[in-house]
Parts: sequence; C-alpha cells; structure tokens
Amino acid sequence: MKIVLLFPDLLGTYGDSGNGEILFRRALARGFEATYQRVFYGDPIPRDGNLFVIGGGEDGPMQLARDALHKDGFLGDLASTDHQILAVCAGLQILGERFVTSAAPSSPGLGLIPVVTERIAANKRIVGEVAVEADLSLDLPILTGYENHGGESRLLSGSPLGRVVSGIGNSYATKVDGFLSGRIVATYMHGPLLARNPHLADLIIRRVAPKATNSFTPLEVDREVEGLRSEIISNRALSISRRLGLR
Amino acid sequence: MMKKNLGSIGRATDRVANFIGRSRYERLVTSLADGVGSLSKATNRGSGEALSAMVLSKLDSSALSRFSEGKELIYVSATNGKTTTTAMITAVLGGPQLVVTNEAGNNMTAGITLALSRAADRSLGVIEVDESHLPIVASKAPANSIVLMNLSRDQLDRVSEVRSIADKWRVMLEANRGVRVFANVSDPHIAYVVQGHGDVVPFEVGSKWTMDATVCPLCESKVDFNEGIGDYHCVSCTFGKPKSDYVFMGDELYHAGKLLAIVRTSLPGQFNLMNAAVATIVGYEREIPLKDIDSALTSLSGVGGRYSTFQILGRTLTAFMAKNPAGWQQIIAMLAESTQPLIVGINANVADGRDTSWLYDIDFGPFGDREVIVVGERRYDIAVRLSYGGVAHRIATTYTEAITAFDEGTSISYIGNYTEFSNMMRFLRDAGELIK
Repeated sequence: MKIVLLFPDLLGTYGDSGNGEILFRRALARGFEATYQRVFYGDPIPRDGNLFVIGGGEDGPMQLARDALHKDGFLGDLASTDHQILAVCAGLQILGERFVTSAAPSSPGLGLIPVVTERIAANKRIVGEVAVEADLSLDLPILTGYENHGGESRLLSGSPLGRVVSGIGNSYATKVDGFLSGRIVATYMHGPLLARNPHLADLIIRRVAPKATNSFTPLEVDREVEGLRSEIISNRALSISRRLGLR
Repeated sequence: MMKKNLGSIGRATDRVANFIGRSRYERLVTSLADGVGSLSKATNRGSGEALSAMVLSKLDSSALSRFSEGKELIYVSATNGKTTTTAMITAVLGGPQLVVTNEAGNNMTAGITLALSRAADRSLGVIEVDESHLPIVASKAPANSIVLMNLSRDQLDRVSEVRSIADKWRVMLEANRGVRVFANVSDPHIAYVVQGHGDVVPFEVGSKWTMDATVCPLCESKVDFNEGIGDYHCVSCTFGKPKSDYVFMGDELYHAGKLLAIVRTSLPGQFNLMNAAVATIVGYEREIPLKDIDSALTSLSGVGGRYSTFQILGRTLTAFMAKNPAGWQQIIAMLAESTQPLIVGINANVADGRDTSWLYDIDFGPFGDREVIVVGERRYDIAVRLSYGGVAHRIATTYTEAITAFDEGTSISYIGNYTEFSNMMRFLRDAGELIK
C-alpha cells in the first residue's frame, strides 16, 4: 500500500501532512506493507501510488498545485484506475470544476468532482469547530474537525461527505460538508481530521485494500483519541451538546 | 496587606485574560475601567493613571499618539523572538532605567499606550508590537526605527494567513517613508516588505522555517531555497535575497564582509544567539561600544519567565515557551542536544489559537529517546500527536502529578504554549523557588 502526500510544501498550511502520516502509521499497525512518500512541488507524481492525500493552502500555492497536477495529468485518469484520494480544504477546491482566488474570481479546477467554489460575500471566512454526521452508508461515528476557509462550495451533483450538525461546512446555505464518491473523500475539516476521526482513516485504508482480511480492532492510540474527543467538548471549543453522543 | 490583595487581583485578571484571550480581555477592561478612569482623574489619584491610560487608549484614539510625542521609538515585530529581542535591545540601550519598554505580552495598542503613559521621564522607547497591530500602532505613534525579524504561521484561526500580514506591513512602510527599518532578509517575507523602502538596514541572521514562504510574493511562482547557504530566489521573476549589511553565521557577526563581533548571550539556544545578533546590530548602529553590548547580552536572565529555572517538589525545572511550529522547532533543536526528560503542555484558548492542527507541522522525532509527560487543557491532542510521531509518553492531569512522575533530583525541561506556559509559571511561582 503506497500512501502519497502531494505537495506538502504548497498545501500544508493547517497541519495537513498529519493525515498522510496517520494513514501510514495506521496501515502499518494493521499489518499492511505500507510505504509513505511525500511528493514536493516539481517532483514526479509516482504512478504506483494507491492513496493520494492533498491538503489546504493559500491562494498562490493552491494555483501552483493545480497547475502541476493538471500538467502531470495522472490524477485526471482517476476514473479508469483504482486510486483513492483524500482531499482537504484547498485540496477539495482544486479537484472541483471551478474555484476562486484573490487574483482570479473563477479559476478552472481539475474537474474530478462536481463542485464549484465561490468567494464568500464580503470576504468573510468560515472559521471554527465543525461536526459532521457522515453519510450513513459509511457507518461512522460523528466526525469532528476544524474549518477555516474563504470559499463556499456547491455540489452540482453527487453526495456530500455528510450533514453538518455544528459549524458550517461547504456553505452557509446547504449545511453539508465535503464530497463523497467511491474513490474520493473530500472535506473542509482540515489538519488533524484523521487524528480526531480514526474510524475514517480505517475506512479509507479498507477502501485501498478491499480484499484484505485484516481485523481492525482499536489501536492503543485510539484510547487517547477518545480523550481528545471528550476534551474538545469539555473545553467548550465545540458548541455541540453531549446529546449528539459525541464522546 | 494592600500588596497582597493587589497580587491576588493580578493573578485573577491573569486567569481571566488567559481564559478569554489577551485582546478580548483588553477590550473588556476598557469598558469596565471607563468609570474608574474618569473617577481617578476627577479625584487626582495617581494610582488611577494606568487604568485611565487603558481606558483612554480605546475611548480616546489620540492617547497613543499623545503619549508618544517627543519620544524616540524603536518597534520590534516578528512571529517569533519579539519579546526576547525587545528585552535584549532594551538592555543594550541602557536598560529600563533609561528606556521605556512594554512588559512581555502587552504588545497590542492598549498595552503599548499604558507603557508609554508611564514614561514621561524617558525619551527612548523600545517597544514590542504584535504583528497584526503594528500598522495601526505605527500610524498613531510613528516610530523612528522598526525591527522586522520573521513571519510564519501562527494562530491561523485568529490572525490571517502570513502573506496578508506581509502585505499590510508593506502598505505601512509606504505611509512611513522616513522610518529606518532593520530587516532580517533571511526571511523572504521581510525582504518583500522592505522592497523599495529607502532607509533599510538589511541583515541576515538565518531563518529555519521556510514552509510559509514557498511562493513568490510578487508573481506567485515557486521560490527555491538553498538552505545550506540560506539563499532563495523566485524561479520566474527577479525576486530573491537582497544584499545585506550584516551577516550572522554560527556566533560570528560580519559587517560589510569583515568580522565585527562574536555574539554571546546568557539565554540558551541558537535562536537566542540570532536574537542577540539583532540586538547587537541595533546597538552598533547607535554607536554603543561592542563590549557594552556584549556585557548587556551576557547578563540577561529569564524574559517573562521564559528560560527560567525553578526548584520544584524536589526536582529542577527549566521552562520554555513555544507558540507555533517555527517556535517549537527552534526549542526542539536546542533540547535535542540533551536527554533531559520533558513535560510538554498544550492549551487551545483564544490567545493560543483554537485550532490545534499545527501540532502536525512539528517534528517531535528528536524526543523519541526520552521520557515525556503531557499536560494542559488539550493534553490529549498532544498525546495523539506524539503517538503518531512515535514518541512514547504518559498523560498527567496536574502539574504536581507531571513533575513527581520523575525521580527526585531530576532536571526536567518544560515546553508550553502561551496560556499553558502562564499557568505553569503561576504554579512554579506559588509552589517552587526561582533559582535562575
């Protein structure tokens, strides 16, 4: 299983490389022969990667990353391959049809997902804790994360990753977060997304290795993750009530 | 009795400030102090002055410019090192008897107003200024010199992205054509900020953190770094590292290509040598003899508790503050040289930044070889981070539990972020004894 973190030098503003590291560590702990490669801007994108992780960043780096991915063309062939992609924040935006930067009100994305992103009115930013009830087909506990974005995304078709129960997500109007397909998990929950949501990490690993029979019992770190999840509530960083069963 | 009461009020307000964040706290105090300010004026009570200044700074927008009149001001701003460098420059220029300065952390408009209001007797000020407050402070109370050291990611939930601060600083200089700028052009953001400004003293003291400067500020192409020699340039336009008047390497400070001084300081770490080099440059440009600069920099003790050592519960603990990835990376590099056991504390209050994702920007690998205990309101965030980073650790719920987890007589290093560090300092001052 080869996990590839794309452009940590461009798209890593919010601790995004953590997601790559966590997938790698968990895959190893599950007994997979996993490797982890960080691909910097200008390096060739490895064709033998199974799982690609793309993070968030500022406007300029985001456009450079888009240009590099477009020129490389590899991810564009996704439909005909069996790769998985985890895209966060700016990563979600550049995989879409169009996105916005301070320099360009409408910049073409890679067109891998049916998402259009526009600037939030009055240059507002959506910043804060967010909690998402994932698509029921995934059978996951509530997802929690931190969002910080200046764009509002609209799904032209397809399914979001889940329904927002606290925070904003893709846009003020829709109350959903991210995008979900058989090959792509995209979300605005940045940085420690997989640190806070190990079940999602395991789900992505299973998607990469669907035939694997490895049993996925909780790891030692997951006891700390439970502490982390309850800490967020007791610290009142998250305005979600215990009623949601978030522990 | 009176003193004791004031002390406990100080501690209580510290707690409030830590809980709601320094900037919000300042706003709150302003409105609360409104009545007290006018009362103190009306009754001519000297003790009300500070409160009054606090009130004035918000209610009377001219207070800052009024108090700054007739003073020569040096502002120091950066993401990291501004508190320590301000203390160093203050020491180099004669110490607090001759120089008005603000206390660690009081680096926003109200805190600066307060510091200046108490300094009728001193005409020179060395003032630490918060990065995002610098443009407004400089517009109300123009500085004679500004020292700009570095910009990197910090509290992104509250402070905007790094590039937009650089843009605001650039606009600030366009409106302050006459100000002399001491600029660390090792950081591409700072080189960008001072581009085209007339009176610049460019210097290179190094910059270890390059992750926030990977894109050209002028044309948005990639910036290439040669970290070995500390050089950088844009791959498509002319932007690159400008020539410097001063270059600092190791502990040697060069001026115009010639060795000027071996820089020393009583504070630990390569980053503090870099801060001391900045203070040396500022002092030398003001014609302070090099031996006086050296003796000022080698007789500093802890700055706002940072780097201070306490005897506590039969152990010895040295405290370090780090607030963001670049700051943590500096402290980790310094502590990597020892094998001292560690206590690591993380909070996520407003003043710390609510979002803890930056913990994943830090390489904790060098701590894999020692005992680590985690504490703080977000101890599980750091615990999970260390687990994924392969650093074994234990979790403690109190400072006493954390410290007594190590054998008696052990020397412990502690690193905490902003409000976590303040909490630890309060604990150490109450329960321990400062030894240096």
